[in-house]
Amino acid sequence: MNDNPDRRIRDVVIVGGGTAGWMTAAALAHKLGPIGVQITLIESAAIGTVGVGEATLPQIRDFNRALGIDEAEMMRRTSATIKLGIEFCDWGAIGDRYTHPFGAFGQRIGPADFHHYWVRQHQRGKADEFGSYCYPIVAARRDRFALPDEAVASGLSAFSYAFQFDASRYGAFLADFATRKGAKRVEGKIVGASSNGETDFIESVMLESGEEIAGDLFVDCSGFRGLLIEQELQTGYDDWSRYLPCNRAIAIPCAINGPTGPFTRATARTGGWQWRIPLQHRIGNGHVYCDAYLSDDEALDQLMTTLEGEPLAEPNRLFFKTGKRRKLWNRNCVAIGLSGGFLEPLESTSIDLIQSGILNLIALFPERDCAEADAAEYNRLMDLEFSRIRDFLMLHYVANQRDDAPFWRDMRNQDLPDSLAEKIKAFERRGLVPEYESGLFQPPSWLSVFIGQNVIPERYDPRADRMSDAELDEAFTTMRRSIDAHVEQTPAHLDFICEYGASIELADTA
Amino acid sequence: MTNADRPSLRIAVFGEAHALWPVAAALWANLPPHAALTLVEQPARDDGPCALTLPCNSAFHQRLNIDVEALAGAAGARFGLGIDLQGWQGEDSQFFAAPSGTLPKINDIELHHIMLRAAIERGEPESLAYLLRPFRFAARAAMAGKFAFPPDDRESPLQLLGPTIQVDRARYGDFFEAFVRDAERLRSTPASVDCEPEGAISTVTLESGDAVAADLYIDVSGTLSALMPGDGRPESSPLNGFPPFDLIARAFIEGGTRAGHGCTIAKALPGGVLVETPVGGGLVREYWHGSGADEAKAVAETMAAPFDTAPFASTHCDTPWTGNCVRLGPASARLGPFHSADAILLQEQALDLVALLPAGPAMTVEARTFNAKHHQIVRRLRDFALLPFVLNGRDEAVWTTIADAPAPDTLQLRLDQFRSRGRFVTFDREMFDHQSWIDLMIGFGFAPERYDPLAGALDMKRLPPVLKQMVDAFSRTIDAMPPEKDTAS
Repeated sequence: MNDNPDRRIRDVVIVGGGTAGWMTAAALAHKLGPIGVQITLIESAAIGTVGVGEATLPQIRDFNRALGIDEAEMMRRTSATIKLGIEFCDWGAIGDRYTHPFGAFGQRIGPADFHHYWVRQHQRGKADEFGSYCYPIVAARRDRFALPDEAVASGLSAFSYAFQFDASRYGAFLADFATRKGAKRVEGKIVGASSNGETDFIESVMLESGEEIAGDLFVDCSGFRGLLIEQELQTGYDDWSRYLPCNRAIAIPCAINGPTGPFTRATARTGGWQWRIPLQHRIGNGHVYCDAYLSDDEALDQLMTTLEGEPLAEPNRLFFKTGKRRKLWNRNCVAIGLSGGFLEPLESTSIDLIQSGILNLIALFPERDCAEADAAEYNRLMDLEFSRIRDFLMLHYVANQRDDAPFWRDMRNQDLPDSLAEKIKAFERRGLVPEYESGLFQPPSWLSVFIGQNVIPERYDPRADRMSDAELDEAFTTMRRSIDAHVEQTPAHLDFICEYGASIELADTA
Repeated sequence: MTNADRPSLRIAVFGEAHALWPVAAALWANLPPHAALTLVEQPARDDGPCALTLPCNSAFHQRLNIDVEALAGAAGARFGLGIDLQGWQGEDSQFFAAPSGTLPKINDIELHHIMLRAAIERGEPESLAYLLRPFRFAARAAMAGKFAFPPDDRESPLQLLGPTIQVDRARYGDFFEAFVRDAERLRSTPASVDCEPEGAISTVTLESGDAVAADLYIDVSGTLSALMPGDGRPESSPLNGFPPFDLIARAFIEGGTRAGHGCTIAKALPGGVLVETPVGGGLVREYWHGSGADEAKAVAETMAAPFDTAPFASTHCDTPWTGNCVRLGPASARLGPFHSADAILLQEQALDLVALLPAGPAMTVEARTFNAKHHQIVRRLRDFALLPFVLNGRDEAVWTTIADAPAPDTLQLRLDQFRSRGRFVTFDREMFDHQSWIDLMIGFGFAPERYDPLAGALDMKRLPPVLKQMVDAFSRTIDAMPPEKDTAS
């Protein structure tokens, strides 16, 4: 037994601001500040941030709750809109459109899961589009939103929501929060680090000014560079570009030019895909592509010619390689955010991966010796999360029927990790959906992509045959009517924002 | 291909009554209209009486809408609140292992971290188990001879209870027979199996001369598998980390009673583990022990009644579903009598099977999914069943060997994380609540070396009244609970 104060971590140094840095600083200052852990964040105004993750997943609400952040205030400060899901256009085939919702499809009407009944109806030619049996999808398409009743575990109110916000404002919002909680911000550019000769643990980082900042634990939030985790510790990188080959992105905001809807949109292009994230005051746009299939000029042209409104800035170019560090926790350094790895933003997972990294770090917060068991467990958890997300992202590319471009043909024919190949086969043959207790994407997510991209099971759970055709027709009709009626009573998304968390910009725009 | 062009689905289940009927009931409740069921009940092996201690609110009972009080009445069962582990840390040691829900957290910090801080600050870190004892509501209620079912009131401490049903395995199985209607029923033993060239079973001929032809064959005894040609049988291997006890002696003591509470006792003895289960009408004794030359006398003394003995070997097959044959329960793995692991395995597999009933003639996807789930279930059951063995504190050679043996990877990870920082690692498909794991580890002296740093932020001076309020509420509730004898059937 021990609780030796000398072994406690006193100083955590976060290298890099931006979304990852300030989310980490806010959470650590809130949770660990009260036990005497000093959080210091070093960032340089001269170094820009990538500003990842304008779109989020519902898990961010847990993060806000854990920190006691008021959602309405956050929405005002970050010009946030509500997000009920992601609309995918042209992914299965050109002209296709489906939504990955933050809620379940259908309702329980028998022993089998709802989608088996839907497949049965589909085989009979009696099914409406799968998304029409999902309240958040129908609400999103009609531009409506009201807060769900959190006490209800099933039924139409059993859905969640996320936010679309200005990432740089979110960083600033959390910077205020973190500094109020005692985190210290140091302005400066890091030019080096010194390590302990015996343990190879990082002891301090040096700033261009000559100042040296020591710490017990270092969190690398320096972005793609991996200033400590890679440049200092040479941890290595698992390159996943053979699975997810897109390696470039161009981002540009544009003006709002009409109703936007409470959802993110991802539209497949000839050599990648394009995002559209509506905020209160602008729309964030970007084109993610693979340079082996599309030149930079073509990519820029595709993006600029499809903007909905006037461009509000110069295009910002990003270069990346999908994958992750071999160890996200190495010695006394934990990489969170882009320094830890990058999976393209197709399913808005960047902020969620930051959040997972933070929560796992708090759950495994070490002593000064950073026990190997703690680091190994952290890496096990994060590896699992990364690989499950990778499989889910790959599904979008693999399950395509497009024949208009080599990119899509090659993506369709690529070698799959066994874990994904098995998932696809199990769904195609029998409608079986991956179920994890700890995974980010649960059955409704997988269902939305499978069925949305025309992977319809050949057969369904035979238990779905226990209902007669007439009973099933009635159940499906009732369900649709119920969803439609509920959506009709739901206020407009814009009205909700005006009442709940409108920023000045929205008032100006409206 | 669609379901509309499917052929009919003929399912044949082979096994002894105790395993056959629960599986048949699960299938019957989920049978699609195009399916037909043939049930072949084999004579029971003469293994002696066997008792089960199962959670009342198990997924199996819930999915089949089982009224456990009706079950107890029909099968002569008793209710309990867990299993009393005696002698595991030495001859006179005692720890009541109770499914106990999740204790309330304080400022989002689990109670064991808070009490560990308190123990360390008072310079007595070894007192952690003692400090946590007042909060072990289910164990306190059981030791006081009380019993209740959790009420609808979500705020009641009774919500922390996880009642168990203690029942003779044969009578438990018979209860489910009434759930099955319109199935073809045969009583015989498989005598031979005919297989297609690719290995699928085409016909099973019974000793009675009847021939059973089906699309899906379910083997819940292992008999069918044993008759299959060698290359059609999946490989089986021993389970890592299991104790070297290779015999189970069983006896029923009619009218047998015991002083103290009426819950199941699992007593560690120098040569094995004696599980004593009070059921309606008496006590079932099952002594899981080694076959050493000097054991016979000790076994007779331990059983203190006429008994039968059957061999036991922990086994596990990698692919319980091959071709059109699915092996369930003892045909797929044997985990032993402790925690009724074999029965829980069978029930969990039965639920998986009904969710994976073949939708067409090709069953490979269903088989792979079932086999993957089988691995998860076996690992979760194995780890929990092994925990008290791995943490035992007895000094006989057989017990120290068990304690020193390497634990399976997943169990070792849990132990390492708990030892180092009191964190409980979870995996997919957990079947036992976290608090049960934590209580047992701490109760067996396996305390964390340090507490969650967040517990360091708590103002310990303000905690005693909060904790006292909780303990007092527990005490009042236990006082008001009825004696367990009032709820026994």
